[in-house]
Amino acid sequence: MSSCTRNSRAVRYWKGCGPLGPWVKRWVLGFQTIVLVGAMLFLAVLFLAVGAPAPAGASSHTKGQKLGSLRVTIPKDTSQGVVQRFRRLARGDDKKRLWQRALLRWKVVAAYAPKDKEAANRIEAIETWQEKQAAKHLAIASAHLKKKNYGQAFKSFLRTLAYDGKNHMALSMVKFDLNARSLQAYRVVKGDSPVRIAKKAYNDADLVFLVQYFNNLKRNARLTPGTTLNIPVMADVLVSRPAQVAVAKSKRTPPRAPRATAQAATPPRAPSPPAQAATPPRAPSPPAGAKSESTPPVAAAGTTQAATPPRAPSPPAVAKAQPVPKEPSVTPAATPAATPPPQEPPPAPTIVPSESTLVAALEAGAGAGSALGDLASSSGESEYSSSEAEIGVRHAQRLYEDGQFADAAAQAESVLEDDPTNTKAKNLVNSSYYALGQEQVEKGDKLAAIQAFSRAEENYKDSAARKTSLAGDLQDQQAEVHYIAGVTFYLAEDLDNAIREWEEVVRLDPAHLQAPKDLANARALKAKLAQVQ
Amino acid sequence: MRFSVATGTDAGFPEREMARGERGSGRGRLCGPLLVWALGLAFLLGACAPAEPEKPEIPRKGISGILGRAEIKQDRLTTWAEDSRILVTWSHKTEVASYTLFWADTHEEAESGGTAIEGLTKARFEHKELENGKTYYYRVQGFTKAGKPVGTYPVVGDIPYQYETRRFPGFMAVTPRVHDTFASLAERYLKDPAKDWMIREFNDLTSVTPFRVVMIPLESYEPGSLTREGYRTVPILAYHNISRIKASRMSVLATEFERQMAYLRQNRFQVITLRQFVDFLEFKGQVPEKAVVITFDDGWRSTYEIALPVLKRYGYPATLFVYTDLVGSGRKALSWAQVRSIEKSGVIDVQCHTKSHRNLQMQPGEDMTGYFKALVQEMKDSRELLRSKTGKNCTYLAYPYGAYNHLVTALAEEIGYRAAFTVRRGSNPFFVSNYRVLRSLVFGEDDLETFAAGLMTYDDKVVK
Repeated sequence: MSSCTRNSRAVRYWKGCGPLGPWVKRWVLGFQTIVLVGAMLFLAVLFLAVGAPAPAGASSHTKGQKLGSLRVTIPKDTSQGVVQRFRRLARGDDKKRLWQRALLRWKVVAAYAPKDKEAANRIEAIETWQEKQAAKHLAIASAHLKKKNYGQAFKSFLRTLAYDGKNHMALSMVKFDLNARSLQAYRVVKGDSPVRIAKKAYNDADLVFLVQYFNNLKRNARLTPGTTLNIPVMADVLVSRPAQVAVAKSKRTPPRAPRATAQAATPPRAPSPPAQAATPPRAPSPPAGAKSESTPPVAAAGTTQAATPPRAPSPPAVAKAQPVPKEPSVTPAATPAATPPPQEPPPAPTIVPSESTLVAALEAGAGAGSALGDLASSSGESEYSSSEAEIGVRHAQRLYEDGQFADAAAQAESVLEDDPTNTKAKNLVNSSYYALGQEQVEKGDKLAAIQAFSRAEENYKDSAARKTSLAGDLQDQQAEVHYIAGVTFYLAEDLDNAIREWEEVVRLDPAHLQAPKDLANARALKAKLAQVQ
Repeated sequence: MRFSVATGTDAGFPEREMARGERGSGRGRLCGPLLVWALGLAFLLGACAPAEPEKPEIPRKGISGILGRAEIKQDRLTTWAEDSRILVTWSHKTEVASYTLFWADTHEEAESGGTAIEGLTKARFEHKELENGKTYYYRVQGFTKAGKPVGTYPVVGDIPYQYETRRFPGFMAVTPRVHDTFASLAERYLKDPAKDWMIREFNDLTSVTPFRVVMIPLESYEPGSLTREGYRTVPILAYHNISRIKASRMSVLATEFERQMAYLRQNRFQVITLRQFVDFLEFKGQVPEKAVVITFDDGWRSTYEIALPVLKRYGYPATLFVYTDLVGSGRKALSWAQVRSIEKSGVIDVQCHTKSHRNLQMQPGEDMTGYFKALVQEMKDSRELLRSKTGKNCTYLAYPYGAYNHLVTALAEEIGYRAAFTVRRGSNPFFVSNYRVLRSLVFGEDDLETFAAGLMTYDDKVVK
């Protein structure tokens, strides 16, 4: 207490001495008071901040109006801050490489700040970048298709779409052609009736009601050759009919044992009833990341751009047995022909470069520097004069002679697209595809061969017959495809589906080496799992 | 807080929390220091709420999305402001002979009196020659022939202004009106209130501020939600029955269902409609970040009694795949009246699940012709019946037991279904086949972790 006496009165009060000291110490300098004053100060600051209408450009605002519990302020310029906000967002998108939304956001900036150089530059840069990248990935996709890396091709088509959302071709590849589909296209040939189509497609005339139902036809309807019908894929349904399918199979695949020799045979076989719709094999694993079930892609049926590359692997053994030079440059001498193409182009050389028709079509489009979507809709371009058609045909002829059948076909087709009556072009298309089909047979890729043959006109040489016999052979590969699908499921720990696939293998090919063992394994594992659970 | 498709329900949350905070402060009244603290806290809370300019408490009206319409029973008064005029409309009451409209410059004045416009026989009035930028408040009172006052309409204010809409290629700039929400803007300009997330995402805003221009993307700017870096995937939840008492494999406990919905909300999942999902599948549209679809199978009564109220509360749209033989077949099944009421609710969309719920794969002993006929009947008849009973034309199909084959999918396509759903587990990127869409069953024994594990909404393994 000694300090109380020595100091001045103020200091004494401060220290809690004297009559008012304790009061001062507790209430004026006390903790509560400090908090209270602090809170009030804080509130004052807060109200000032809230009272001021907006963070940016407060001066441009009229006084806020109260609307119920809402305070509304009408800025002088309602679009104030738009440019800044969207510039910030667009820059963020640029950083995250989200080009599509970056583009639209830069467009907002450009709309509100027409003289803004950054926006204009970015829009141009992104647009050219997208175009370039889309073309690049489309080219990569086509290269993968050529090598039958369907998974990789799928990936590249997806990337193409990421840069060019309007690319119909990439979309149809991703969504349909390289995806699971249950309806296949069938092009009617001369002499077809619903019953005959059922016989051809399903090896069972009783299934004519399917053809009728899916195309709204009468049983004895007259069909115009060249029209396309939709018929369902029945592979998995027919498989579940053990008795009938056995008959169907034995009918369909007579040359079963000498498989390799049959494939090696270059000369066409005796014509059998022409068929178009082949039952394609099931694919091993979907290119989609999701483990969706394997399903056959549609057999190509001569629709213009939507050639359908099947996703099934070509049998490696056969491919090895038939070494073929890969590059077009290795092609042996082809017989040069006179400049006006003859009705019957020279017979195809036996060893020829390998190219899928679709790839060629793709490259033809990309090579011409056209944007990707153009390919599908190139017919919409300017009119084709007869001289241009002439040049096109000559070019196609030259390609044919060089043994580049796929390119030749694509070239001739592009002529046809603009001038459907051009018989020279039509002939070239037919002979190119026929030659391409032969070439694929030699390579051992039956699916590609079937595709090529189906692109040729039905009555051209024996293309239809060859297709039928190839389709029969393919049926045998189906077991292998199911087996691989089963393995994929097994690895993904999807036991049920693995078992289902392997059961199908055993059903299709009871003599399969691996499947019964694996099946037993999987079942045991499943039983064990069930026990554990 | 606001991130779902529908609005209006969650808006109440912050208020409720605030009220709880204030009530808690009452306990400290006895001891000085606590009181001061609590007062400070209360002030702080009170002051903070209006400090967020992005969250105006807009009185919500009928246009507030999928949800609002079903629940509002109160008399409605809506305004539509334009350049120097305001159109006032209100819900008509049959017993009313004439209406009197009151208008004033302030809310309080309008509540107690204001300038009266008498003798209105129609439930609308156009207030002309107004001053732009000024707020006008309206209230309505209906009178019967005997002069008895009827109806309690709320006071609603609006501001006449030269509201602007500018069209640019690919997008549109719009001045939002005072009562606008993302859902109302989406309804007006994108023809679908459930697309509110598209405007929100593109503008990167949490709510609409009146008179601040908003950009509306007129078409999907990222179709399929695919970018070079990756793509969004949509998980589809498939529920069957919901029970209040006991969980089983196909029956989820009601509390568990509620917890799962709460989980979606807390983790900012955005529940989208099946239609949006199919647009996305067809590469015509995109989906929001963390999009989920909710579906119910079969048509159990619990869908109506338990799920519907919960979904309404959360503002989550869902789809019910109903097999028509079940409807009206017993105590646990829905009746047709309930199906109609579900369809009318605007929350749950009713779709097809065949007629008898038979396995659509070929059964032993079945011949091809009989099998095919049965398939057509299953898929077609149920649709016809649903159309005749509810007037609804269903466009999506769920395979019973998720079982299908090529013929089934081909037939679904041929018959005109836009998409068909399996029960294979997984999340859907846009590039799955429309007739083999993946769905993850939610089982009664699943815990929240299992539930959450199925909700994958982004992937990049196919593009990377």
